[in-house]
Amino acid sequence: MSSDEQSVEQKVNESLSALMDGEATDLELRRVLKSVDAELDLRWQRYHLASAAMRNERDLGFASIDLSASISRAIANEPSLSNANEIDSNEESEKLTAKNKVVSLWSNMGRFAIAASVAGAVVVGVQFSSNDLTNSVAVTPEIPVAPVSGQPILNVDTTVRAVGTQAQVKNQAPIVINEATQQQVDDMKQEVNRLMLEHAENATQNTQNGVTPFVRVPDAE
Amino acid sequence: MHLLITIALIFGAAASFSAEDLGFKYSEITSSSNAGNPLADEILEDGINSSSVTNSNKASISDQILIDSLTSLFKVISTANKVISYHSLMTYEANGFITTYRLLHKVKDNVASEQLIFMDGPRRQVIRNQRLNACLNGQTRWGLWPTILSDSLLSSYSLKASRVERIADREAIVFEIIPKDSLRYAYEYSVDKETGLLLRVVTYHEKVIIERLQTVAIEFASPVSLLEFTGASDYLWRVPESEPCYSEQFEPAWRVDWLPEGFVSVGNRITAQGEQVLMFADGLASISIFITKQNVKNLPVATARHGATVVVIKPESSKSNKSIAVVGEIPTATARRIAASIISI
Repeated sequence: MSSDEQSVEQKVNESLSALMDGEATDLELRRVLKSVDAELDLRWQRYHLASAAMRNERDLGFASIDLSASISRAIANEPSLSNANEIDSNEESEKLTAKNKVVSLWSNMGRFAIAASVAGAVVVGVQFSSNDLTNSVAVTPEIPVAPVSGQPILNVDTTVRAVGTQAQVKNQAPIVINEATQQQVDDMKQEVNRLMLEHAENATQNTQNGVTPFVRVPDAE
Repeated sequence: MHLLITIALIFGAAASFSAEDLGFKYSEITSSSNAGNPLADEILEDGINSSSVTNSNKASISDQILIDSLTSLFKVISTANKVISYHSLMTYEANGFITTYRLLHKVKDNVASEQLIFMDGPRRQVIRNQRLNACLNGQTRWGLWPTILSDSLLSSYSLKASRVERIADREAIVFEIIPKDSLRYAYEYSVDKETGLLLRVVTYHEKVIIERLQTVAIEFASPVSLLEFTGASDYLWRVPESEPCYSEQFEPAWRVDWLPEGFVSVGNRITAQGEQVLMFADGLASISIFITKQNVKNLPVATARHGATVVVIKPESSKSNKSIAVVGEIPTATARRIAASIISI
């Protein structure tokens, strides 16, 4: 082992020691992770090449991921849907009977009272049956309305395509909306925002990425 | 504390590298390799044990997870969220706008605590404390970290690893998730190579990007050192903790006659306003169906969209004072078709 390697190793060990003491800086953390990563990285690439060649395909088809051992083990121990069992204690089972309590959790609080006041700018496309076309403006269903805050995306080619609206206005003829219905549209926006907030909570419960579905809840006015 | 465990284990693995050098073997950990079902805290305890015994059998566990299916991909993402404490900054693009967020994710005492702060506009934040136990028979998905809907995922989407990319100054593997029909969206999931955390999610509709959630910076820290962010906010939503292992059930007065294949019921609930909500998911996208009192008069049909989320509202019938709302990360046509299929029992 060269002296260079030794000094790198020594640094890594020092960083590790600092980590154990809870005194590691970001730099030290990265150093430790990198010392392991280089090895894995090579293997990962080799594996990749081999598998791609085997399949004779341009895309990789699948990939391995380099995880720290604790995460690997946690994954190995993860209960699957089919046999997740016996994890909750009897105490939890007893709570199964506490039905009324649960219902009240959902229904009592004004936890979404906030939603109405957070009503904001989503996109609303409305289809009216009204034949009154006087004093009216034509709108297209599902016109994206800008949120109040946030930065509009610059007119750069790639980005515009990235968040474009082509997919949303296709195959839909403009419809007609008159001034008398503006209040209805505003009411509808509030309702839509409330529903999206409720849905974000459901989505959080039913997808694997934690609380992030809430980023979709639109902005206030 | 958890981070220290992680590092200690890495050290253990590193030690075995130098000892065995090429003796390190690639092996896969498949989704069915869970002999026991320890609690998350047991897993952590496990970590402490093996960190002190670097060359025990446990140190030889592979650090590589083979992601060859949607099930294994989601297992990695899900587990990362249950084990790692971090603090990140994110951007979300939808409808031609970018908004920014700060996320604190703390795992401690078998609870994942999350705090999402909206960095633009009114001061808003969401707080959620999620217990990490699983339930008897794995049936309940409410009140706990959700289960992975393997069957639905496999029947609805296909997976392809497409490339390695640098995201938030980290190496990420980019996976393409392609729907098997045109009733739902396609996704690109970018997963951190080192931790398994999701760094970027791009949602596509017919090859057009309709929303993008991207981590721009992420820092790992022990949960102890992760301080709560300021509580200053104009609006605070606290995701309520319901009783674990209990599915709120009621006899729905409504029936959904059509849903894209792969969407399964994940429970019912009643909102603060007393509406019935039927929830469905295909493992990736979710749909909420609300039966509401008609709050807005003379508004037969309305469609709203924000990024991937669509809201379709229609009256139950011309005579009824109730309306149906379908909300989900699905194409408008799918939502409308679902709405049209809902009938009163």
